[in-house]
Amino acid sequence: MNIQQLFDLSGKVALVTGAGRGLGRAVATGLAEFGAEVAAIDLTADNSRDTVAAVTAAGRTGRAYGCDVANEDAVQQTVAQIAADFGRIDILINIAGITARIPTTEMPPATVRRLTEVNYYGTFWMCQEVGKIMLAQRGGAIVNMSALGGGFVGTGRGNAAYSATKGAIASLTKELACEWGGQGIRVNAVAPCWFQTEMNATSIFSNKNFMAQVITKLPMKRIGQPRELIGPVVFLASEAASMITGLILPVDGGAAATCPIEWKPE
Amino acid sequence: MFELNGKVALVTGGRRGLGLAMAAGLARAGATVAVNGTAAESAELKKKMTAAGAPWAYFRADLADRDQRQGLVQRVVDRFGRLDILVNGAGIQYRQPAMEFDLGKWDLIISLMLTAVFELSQQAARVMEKQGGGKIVNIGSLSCFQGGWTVPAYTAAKHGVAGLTKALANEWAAKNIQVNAIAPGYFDTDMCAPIKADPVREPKIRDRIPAGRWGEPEDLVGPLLFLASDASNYVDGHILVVDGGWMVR
Ligand SMILES: NC(=O)c1ccc[n+]([C@@H]2O[C@H](COP(=O)([O-])OP(=O)(O)OC[C@H]3O[C@@H](n4cnc5c(N)ncnc54)[C@H](O)[C@@H]3O)[C@@H](O)[C@H]2O)c1
Repeated sequence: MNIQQLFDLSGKVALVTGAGRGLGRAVATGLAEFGAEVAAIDLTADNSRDTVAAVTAAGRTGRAYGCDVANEDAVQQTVAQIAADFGRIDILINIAGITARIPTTEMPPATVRRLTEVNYYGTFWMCQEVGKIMLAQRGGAIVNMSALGGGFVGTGRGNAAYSATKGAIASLTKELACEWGGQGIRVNAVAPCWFQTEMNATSIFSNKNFMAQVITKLPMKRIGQPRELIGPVVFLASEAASMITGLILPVDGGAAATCPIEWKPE
Repeated sequence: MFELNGKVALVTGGRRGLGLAMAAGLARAGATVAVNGTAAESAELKKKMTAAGAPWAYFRADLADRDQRQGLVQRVVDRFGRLDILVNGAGIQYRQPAMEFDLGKWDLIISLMLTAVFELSQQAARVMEKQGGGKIVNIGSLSCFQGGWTVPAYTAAKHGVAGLTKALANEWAAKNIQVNAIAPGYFDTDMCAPIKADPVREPKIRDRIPAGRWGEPEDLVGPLLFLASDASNYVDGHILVVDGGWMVR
């Protein structure tokens, strides 16, 4: 195989959830830059307007779909619609997610439920529905979104309910890798540390003590930029990773290998 | 993002097997490649590297010997002007029950597969720091995580390489030198030929691999290009398992 073709996604159809902003928008754009057609899911189709524009600017077909991934009926209908519109689904990137940085003793049950429903169930429903299509195609690549807090350097993250959903996603990823490995479907996850997105804007980036630790203790001395997730996700979604499945890939400037950073509210 | 045009790479243990596949892969992605090996240059090496179409040269040195490894990075820099990528791939295998294990073999394996990795990384990082950054990719193994059977020196060396990868990543991250490793699973090379040919062990191993097959040397090229290129600039200190899912089952 030609070396450029290893990472080339031309002719592939990629479904990205949480594509409206943040990491989802960066990844959806990156996939298009590497040649993929993109079905962008977010809570409303309108959320993904800029994403679709970026996909189109990269010369690829992009379509936006409104779907709450926590709702299995909505997932079923939307995935069926995407399969009808694009004819197939080769790549699934589950990025839709929410966080709630509240001390555990003060955490309202409804918030715990919603976190679990969006992050974990949302990933599960998407894998289930798209998995059926990939099994029928006898091939596909799934990249889920875990997080460094999902059991990698697990302590002191100040985000217990969220971290538990990301650990569940890591576990699901490994199980599905085994269940579907023989049928040509690879299932991996990325585990980012702290990236510059709106999700973190109001919580950790305004916490001076936390940011000081990031800058002093994190080996690379900086947080990540959304575009720095493109390389890892394109790699895992492409032929270049043909022998990789069940992997949880930290994209963390070295944090998992080295340093404990503690989060305390200020 | 995955291109290596203008980069200079050194691949130790690049004369055959996985090392040669990786050296050729780097060359196909545009890098100038310094290939190191212990024995004389082979016809297969010449053929594969020439076909890859980038400048390359062979640097013969036995890396188990400190005198021979001492100036290796400098030799490469003298020839190609810089060093951007170091792939520590040289390795050997020796099997013997631990109680009888030959101590000379122990020293040899630790010297070649652990101490040499450190020394070459040290040499390379000094050059990379001046250049403003670089990439070091160590070749680990499933023995970075598992104990294996009758291969105590190999396992100790590979666990050591995993630790070293993290230690060096930590120290050199701020210098923009990323240090990662690739841990190949079961790959079809000369080193694994005895297991591949074993009618009892081979099917047991294959059945445990979710992907349902052994790895081919080419399967390592994508992961290597990822870790050697700008695509992985925020990935550091990671041991990237390339095993068709072996470790998760
Ligand atoms: N930013 C980080 O530092 C970081 C670190 C580790 C993991 N992550 C994970 O990456 C993912 C994206 O994070 P981000 O920082 O880009 O967040 P973000 O809040 O900027 O973007 C998340 C997107 O998901 C969408 N979304 C939320 N709930 C949804 C639902 N129920 N159905 C469909 N879409 C929904 C939102 O509308 C939004 O567009 C999340 O899963 C997050 O947990 C982020």
